[in-house]
Amino acid sequence: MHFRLKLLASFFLIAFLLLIGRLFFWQVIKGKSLASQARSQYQKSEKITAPRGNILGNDGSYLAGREEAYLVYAYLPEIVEEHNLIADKLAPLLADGEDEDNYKARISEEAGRIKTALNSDGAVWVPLKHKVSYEIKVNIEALKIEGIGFEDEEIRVYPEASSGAHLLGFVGKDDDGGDIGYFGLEGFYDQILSGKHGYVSRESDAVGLPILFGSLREVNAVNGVDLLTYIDKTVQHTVENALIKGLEKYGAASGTVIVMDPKTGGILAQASYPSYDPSFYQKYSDELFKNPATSASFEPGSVFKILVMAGALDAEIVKPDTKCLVCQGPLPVDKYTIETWNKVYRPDSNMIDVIVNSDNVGMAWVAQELGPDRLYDYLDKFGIGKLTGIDLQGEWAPVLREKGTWNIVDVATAGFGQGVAVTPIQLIRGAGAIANDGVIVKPKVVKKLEGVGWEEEIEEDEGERILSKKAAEDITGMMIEAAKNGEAKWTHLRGFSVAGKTGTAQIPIAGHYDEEKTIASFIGFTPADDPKFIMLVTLREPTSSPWASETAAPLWYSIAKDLFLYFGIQPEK
Amino acid sequence: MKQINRNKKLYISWFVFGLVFLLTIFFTIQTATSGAEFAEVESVKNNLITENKLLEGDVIKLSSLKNLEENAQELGFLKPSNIIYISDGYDVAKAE
Repeated sequence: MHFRLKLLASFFLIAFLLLIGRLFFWQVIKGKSLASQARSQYQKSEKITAPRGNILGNDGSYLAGREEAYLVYAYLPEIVEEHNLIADKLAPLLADGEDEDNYKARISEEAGRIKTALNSDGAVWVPLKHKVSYEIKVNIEALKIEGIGFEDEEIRVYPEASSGAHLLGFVGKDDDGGDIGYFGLEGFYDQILSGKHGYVSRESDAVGLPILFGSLREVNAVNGVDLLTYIDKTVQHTVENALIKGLEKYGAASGTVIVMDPKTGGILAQASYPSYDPSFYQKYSDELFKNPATSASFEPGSVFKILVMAGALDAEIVKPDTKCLVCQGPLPVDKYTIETWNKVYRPDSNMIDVIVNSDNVGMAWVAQELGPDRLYDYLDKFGIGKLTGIDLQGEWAPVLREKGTWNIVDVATAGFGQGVAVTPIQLIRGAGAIANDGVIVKPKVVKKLEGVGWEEEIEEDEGERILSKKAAEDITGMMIEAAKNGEAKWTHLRGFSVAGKTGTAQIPIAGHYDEEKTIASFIGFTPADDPKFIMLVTLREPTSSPWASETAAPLWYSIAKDLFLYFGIQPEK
Repeated sequence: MKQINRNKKLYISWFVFGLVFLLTIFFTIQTATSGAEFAEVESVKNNLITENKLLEGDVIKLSSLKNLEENAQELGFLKPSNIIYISDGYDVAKAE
């Protein structure tokens, strides 16, 4: 009897120890994974995607928008069908490309990729394809494959394709595979455009329906902010089309056109070619992503003369009727001799003639009269050598020779735009100060930020007066004469009030200038007394003619002709 | 008289208990079914959001100047090749 009691007690003890052991196994060893499995059964978590902000033209139409897209994933515990079968079903829908010749190869490659993903060791949740369109999602849903699900994503769309690509930039991937803006507005305003994703986690019942009185944790998504820009889609479209035709007509390697409102600094349009389609940025070389308007420097040549002359007029070193005292022939400077572009010398030239005839000798003399320090100060005021601060990612500014280190040759050559480098945006900003009665403003692309239920104007830049009104009027008068009677007079549109200047710059290569290749530019604003726009056209290496008067100038006027109509600018007579 | 009052109290207690019991059942059922209703409302909301996004996508495509230009060309519209500006007081068309 006693023995049987002991046996029973031992049995209970062993059973108790086994129970404790088993409990230890489930509670401690397997505790974490079981708790997580349990949580996944009664708790549902979802990411709330923050839509990326749109980029809008000045009329509120889309320059960059978002399109519904999905991530296709497989939740392996719920997969019932064979992995190979699922891969074969999904491959025709998920394969990239439209090449009919390689159709079979593409499908088989995609099926292989899906199979590998589905068979990954230890995986529970496998992403199969990102950025799938709504149509494809509907087709996959129709297949009713258990364990295949979707998560919200979005595709960036650029309705005007490559138009304004350098202004807009593109949305690529960061190191974690998330969306991130690169270059242009997408890069500069990436944080504002991106917003912040949120999430919701709540208890659900056995069939996955939410339990209303269960626990709920929700962090709302913060939507990306829309950018309302100064970009005028009509002007942008006109400029793009004209530039493409211009490059072909003048056989230029590349070109840039910027149209700006000189009063606000708002960029109305900017086109550069060659360009790329931001929707398919992967297909293009990295070199194309840099915006030539803000990051490519060049020696400006004669268009620079207006800045130097404006400085000299403001400093009252010269007046429009001041006679050039050295314009009778080539000007020796140190061991060099400065000549005019056409080797024609006019001894009686005044300052108006110097600008109209684009006289290098006259401008070298003006720069010398201004002196190195004052010349430097004016160039600095015009923003040469400094970033303009435009709201585009990737701006770069070539360095201006330091004050106090300019020798007589540097001063003389800078007078006609040689030995200094600028970016197109610096040049149009500087010339914009002349158009704006002597007040320089910061160029900008975005006018307003628009969120859900709020909007915020980008602070107006009141600008800084760098020239007297009189000096600005005088140089404007000279530019009007240059447009009417300068070397590009043949292309001038009669009756229209245009203040403009051509510039044909040689391209420096390994310590000397290329004999044949040039950069042709034309900068001008109109109507001269109350400008609606200022426009810069630069063509690199035109082959039909090396001269700006025969390439950049006619292209400027062909664009301006359309813009006159669009802005309602009428001829004066 | 005392007996009647006690019975009355008992009936009231039973009534309150029964009411609470029925209400509990009612609200339990309501809570369970409202989860389904909530899910349905949420699904309708999500469908509307999706539809809205798809419509926005259509607006983006249709408002593209590139597309408009192509359509205009197909419809036979031409860009004016020569623009004539007329001064004030100039007779454009004059009946003799």
